[in-house]
Amino acid sequence: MIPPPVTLASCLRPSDDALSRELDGQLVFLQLETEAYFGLDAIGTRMWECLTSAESVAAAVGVLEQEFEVGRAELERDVIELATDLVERRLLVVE
Amino acid sequence: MSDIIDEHRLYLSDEPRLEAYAAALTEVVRPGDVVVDLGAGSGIMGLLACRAGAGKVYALEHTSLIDLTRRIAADNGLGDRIVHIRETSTEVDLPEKADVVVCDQIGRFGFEAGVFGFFTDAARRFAKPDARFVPSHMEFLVAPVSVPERARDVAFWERPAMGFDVRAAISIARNSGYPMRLEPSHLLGTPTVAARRATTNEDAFTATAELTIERPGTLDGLGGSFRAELAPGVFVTNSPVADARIERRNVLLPIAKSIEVAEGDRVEVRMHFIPRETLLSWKVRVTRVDGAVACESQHSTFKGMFLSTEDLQRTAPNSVPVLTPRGRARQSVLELCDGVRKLGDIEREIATRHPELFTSLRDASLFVAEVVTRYTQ
Repeated sequence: MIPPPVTLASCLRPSDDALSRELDGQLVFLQLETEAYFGLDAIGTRMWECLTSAESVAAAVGVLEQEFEVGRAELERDVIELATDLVERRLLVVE
Repeated sequence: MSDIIDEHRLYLSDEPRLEAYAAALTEVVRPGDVVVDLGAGSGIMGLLACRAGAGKVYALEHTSLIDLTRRIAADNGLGDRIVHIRETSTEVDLPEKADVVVCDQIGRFGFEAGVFGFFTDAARRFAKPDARFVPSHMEFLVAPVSVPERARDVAFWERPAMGFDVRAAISIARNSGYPMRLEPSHLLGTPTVAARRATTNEDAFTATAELTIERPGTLDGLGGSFRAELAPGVFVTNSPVADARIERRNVLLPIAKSIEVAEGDRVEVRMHFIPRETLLSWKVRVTRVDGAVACESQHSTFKGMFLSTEDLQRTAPNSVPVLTPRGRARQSVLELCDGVRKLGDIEREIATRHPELFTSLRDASLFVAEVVTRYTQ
């Protein structure tokens, strides 16, 4: 099944089939169904934390905007790109 | 020092195991069959297969034990019917297809010693389409257990050691399986089959079980055991309640925090096996008789693995690997194995090329031996 596209209005949560563990500020994932490993660097890890705790992608971008010196449009593009990748890898689920 | 010989003594003195394998091979081997014994060890499966009527046995053993295996076969007058090959089954090329494939790479919980991977590969590469596999199916049993001595081991990391904080290991400890021999006295409920799988299918799978607490106690985790179907109606098991239990330990899968349970409480178990990665995840939910959820615990050996930042950096797609001095020496050995040079010449050349690693010809020879026994024929 093709997952719905990630937009600023999307609400995301970790997939039940995704295991993660933190290692020196970075996250390592194992997707149980695909048996695939995936790693996020420190910035990606921070984006993951915001995406999975905020009510929407837009809200996550709002938090990250306070932390990173980058324009809003560029940040939205980067966050949606990462979120889309994580949804395709079945690590995140669009609610 | 080696405990290998003692390990094989234990295998050969485990009567329930041997009797079950003998019965199974008598059942599935037909006169003249070609049998492959994976991970032959002392070679007992091949000997039993010959007794059952096999025309030829390929005994695969990738360690130096193969010489003993060969000698035992010869001493029993079966040297001409058993072909010994020092190779792992996943790398071997056999001159003919097998009618029967047998192994005991089962482990303590039915999957971690590799049977699924070995049989899936065998079915694809060197077994006949109608080949029989021994064991053919694996059942995974779980039971609620109280094992205070082992629970203390899991909780060990919560306290300082010599005054030092060692709690960094807690997560690894709670996400690891612990080998132990379970006794009926450890059980708070009956071992229950959570899944049954054909051994020629190494795909990941999910197993579930609903357990009932049958006597009150402290629930420390799940006790895992297996029941392997060797042939129709012929089983081996390490279940603590089996009459003919084989001499193999079980595994404790801990929960995060031990909890008191009462008769009638329910324990829901959901497990996910990834045989290819030898990974196991387990979720446990304890529900009281009145329906209240008393505890939920989620674990995975993925979180129990020792992973280092260095490993992650080294395996990142954008990293640029650079050979270490020993890596360069290994590369040299492989380059020198050109099908012309003699081993003695290679050893001397390696000692000359890598003086920073080898202070004597003997050191270089040992290194070369390690490489050539693994990568050359």
